[in-house]
Amino acid sequence: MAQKTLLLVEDNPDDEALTLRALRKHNLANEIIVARDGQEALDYLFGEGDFTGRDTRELPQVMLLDLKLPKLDGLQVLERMRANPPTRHVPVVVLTSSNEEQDMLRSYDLGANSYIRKPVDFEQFLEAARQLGLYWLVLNEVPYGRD
Amino acid sequence: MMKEHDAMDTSFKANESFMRFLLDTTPIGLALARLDGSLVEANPAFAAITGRSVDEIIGLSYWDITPSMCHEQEQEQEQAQLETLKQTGRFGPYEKEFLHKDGHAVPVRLSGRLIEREGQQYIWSTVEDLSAIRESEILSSRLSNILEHSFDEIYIIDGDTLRFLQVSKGALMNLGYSMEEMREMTPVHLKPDFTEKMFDDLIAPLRTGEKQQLVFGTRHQRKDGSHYPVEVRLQFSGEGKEAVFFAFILDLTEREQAEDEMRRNNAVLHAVNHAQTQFISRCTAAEIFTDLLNAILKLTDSEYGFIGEVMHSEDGKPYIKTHGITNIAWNEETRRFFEESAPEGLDFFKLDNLFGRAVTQREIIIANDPATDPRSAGIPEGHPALHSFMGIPFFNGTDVLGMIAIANRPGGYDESLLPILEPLLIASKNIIGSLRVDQQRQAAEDALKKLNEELEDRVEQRTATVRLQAQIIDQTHDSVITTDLEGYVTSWNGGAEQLFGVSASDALGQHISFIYPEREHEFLQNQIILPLKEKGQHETEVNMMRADGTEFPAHLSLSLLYDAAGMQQGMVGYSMDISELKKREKELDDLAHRLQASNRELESFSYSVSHDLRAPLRAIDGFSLALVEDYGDQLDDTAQDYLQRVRNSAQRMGMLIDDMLQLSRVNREELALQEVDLGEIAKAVMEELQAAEPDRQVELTMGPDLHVHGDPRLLRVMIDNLLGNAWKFTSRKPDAHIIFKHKADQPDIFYISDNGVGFDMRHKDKLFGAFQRLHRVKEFPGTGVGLATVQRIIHRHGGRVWAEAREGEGATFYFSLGPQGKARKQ
Repeated sequence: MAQKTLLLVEDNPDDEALTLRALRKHNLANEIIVARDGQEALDYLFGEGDFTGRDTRELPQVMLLDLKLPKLDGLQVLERMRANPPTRHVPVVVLTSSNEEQDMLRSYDLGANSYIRKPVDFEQFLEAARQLGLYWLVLNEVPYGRD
Repeated sequence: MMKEHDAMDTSFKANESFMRFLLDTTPIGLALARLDGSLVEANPAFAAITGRSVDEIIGLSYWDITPSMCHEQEQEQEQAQLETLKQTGRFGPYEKEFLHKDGHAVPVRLSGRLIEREGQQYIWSTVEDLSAIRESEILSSRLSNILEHSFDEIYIIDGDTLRFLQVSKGALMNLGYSMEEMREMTPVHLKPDFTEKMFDDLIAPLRTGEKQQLVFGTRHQRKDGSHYPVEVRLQFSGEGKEAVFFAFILDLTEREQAEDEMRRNNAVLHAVNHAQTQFISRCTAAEIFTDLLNAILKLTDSEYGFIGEVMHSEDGKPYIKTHGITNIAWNEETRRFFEESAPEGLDFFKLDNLFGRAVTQREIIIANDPATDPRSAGIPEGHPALHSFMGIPFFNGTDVLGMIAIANRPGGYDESLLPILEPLLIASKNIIGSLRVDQQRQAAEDALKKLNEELEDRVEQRTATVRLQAQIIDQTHDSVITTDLEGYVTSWNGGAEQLFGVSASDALGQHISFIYPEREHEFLQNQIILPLKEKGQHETEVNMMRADGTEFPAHLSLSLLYDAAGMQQGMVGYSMDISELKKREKELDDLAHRLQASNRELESFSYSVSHDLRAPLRAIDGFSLALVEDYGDQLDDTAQDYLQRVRNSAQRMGMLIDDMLQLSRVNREELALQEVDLGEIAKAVMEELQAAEPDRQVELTMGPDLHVHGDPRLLRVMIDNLLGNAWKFTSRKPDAHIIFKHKADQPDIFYISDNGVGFDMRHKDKLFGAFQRLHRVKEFPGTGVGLATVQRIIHRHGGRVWAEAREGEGATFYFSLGPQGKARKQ
């Protein structure tokens, strides 16, 4: 089994730090890649920009995607990666502060696999992250990365 | 023998004059004749018997006064008497006849003897005149004969025993008794209406002679028990044993029958006349036939009945409509039915019964035992008994026009009634026929009248419309302009004068293009006149021009005008200055744009709030937690407590933000109305509450019919808050109970009540304000936004919310959803 990579797309350094801490605390991923805006996330996935030359066959086991991002927002990222056949099946968990319904509906429309609202209460967040990690990193099988 | 004669002679002599007297006065005829028959002596009585005087008779011969012997018998009788006289010296008495002077025979009884006087033999004859006796005998025999053979009823009754002595043949025949039977009977046996006492009292004045004759009417009973009406003439005669009553009886049967018939004929005639009179004086069918029916019932001794007309229902089936009917209602229901229906006529649709068959079988129906008659369909319960029935149809040509039904004639019905009813049947037929014609005529008249009225109405309406139109056109502020087909102005109203600043006199005859700016002339041709001529009418907006050259936007509505023959004649245009309208439209547009912009701003603000305000809070909370978890061993209790407070505040701030966002969403989101079952929502909310606090025991009682019309998402938020409150404020009650129902008397008003801590009603005005709380956070957590949100949701549905509570005893929140979200029962 290939190593399990998690792609976190998050522009808020506090949230990034807290998420990373939570994921590590629960020992959920071997490798966590952090993209701090939408463009960076797409560059990583498509092997462009700073990530030119990366072996794009290696896809993350799961991608945690904030919606409110500089440059390209989360929904745009989702739209682009779903339009690109290699990245079409990457599981995407939308992780956002927003509880606007339209955001949720739009996310699912664009092919998000889950939608998690970041609670203020960090313990709840931790719990959510733990469950997320468990499901997407441990239980879920993806149609790629098995060799 | 001789001695006797001598003695007699002596006395004759002695009393010669006395003897002469005796001879002269005795009623017995005495005569002395010689043996040859010549009369030598005769007394006056003898002379009188033959109608002669004594002088006339003396000198006549016996044979002169004896009628010539035509009959052998008489001759033999004379010879025989002569023989007897010769042999015995006596003859007779025998009866013979003398010849009266006037030639008629006088019956006499004759006897005599031979006497000798002075050596001369004489015949001494004694003669009795039998005329009177004979006459009486003849009379008696005649009377007897009459009595015996008379077809009149003559009765001779014993004055003492009152038994019949003699009864005429007519009486015996009529009564059916024999003479022998009659002899044992008295008049009382014949007169069922009399007792012996009554009869005795009746005849008493005859016995006393107070009255010569009694005349009275009664009836006689025949041997077979039948009766006949009689007039009795009774007389009394004689005394003692001879006393008799004699009675002459007149059988009145025929006379009464004749009288009855005459009366009937009169009644029939009267009924027919009456009906005709009523018809002429335009009485209703019910009035006419009720009277006619009553006449028929009386004539036929019937108890009840009807006269009906045969009608046909829409599907062609015959039914009977009664015009006259006896009220035989037998209970309240039938009485009411009769009173309501009889004037218009009862309709009988069922015809498979006795009366119906008169119509369906087109024949007279007589049933004198209806109970067992197979043609009868029975009678309804309570219907008066039916003992006998007769139904008679009457025809118009071959069509059954109607029928007469009559019932309960004593003794039943037979066809002998038909001749009596015939004129009434004809009258009924004629009247129904006439009524039908009348109805048709009336209907035709009514239709014509209605048509006329409608026509007048239409003309009047049309006139009014035209007048109104003219008035409107002249007074309207809208400009109304007509032109010919070329576009030259033919009329110009007051509105046009005002709108364009051109007087009618200046405008008439000009081409319509003078009220359009130069640049609109092409539009006028191609976009106004052309489409108008193609479609007949047209509407558009165009810029027009006043006389001073100023322009304005106008709404133009055009129609083609046609002449009476339908040929295009010209055009009419209604133009209205819409500059004001345009200005308003633009203002509204601007406003709508600004509102949209402001809404967008608000949305983006909310979005930012939800993202950006929460992120720092999460950081505060998260790093506080990280500090506690990662460096807890380096912090004392106070530090840990402070950090906990930091976290609590951050979390509370998060809740406030969430609630604020929800409140703002309630305000800006469009309502998506649909049928919503609040009960289902309540159940889901309770499940969530229970899941969050599985240890709590809260009973929820829900009423039926919690269906409303509203926005399901907002209503969910509302129920969430109300039930959440109820749940929260009952947290200290071991027997927490929440009720969610609609008011029994007002299904549009719902309430959610709990038995929690309640609140002080003095503060109820703070209840629905945002961030207003009646309890401390420590006691019951919350942001104070929930009820503000509830109120906003309910207001947005057009409804109302209010609360009632007592501190420590629970609270009840009432709400209705108003006209928009009006509760709908399912």
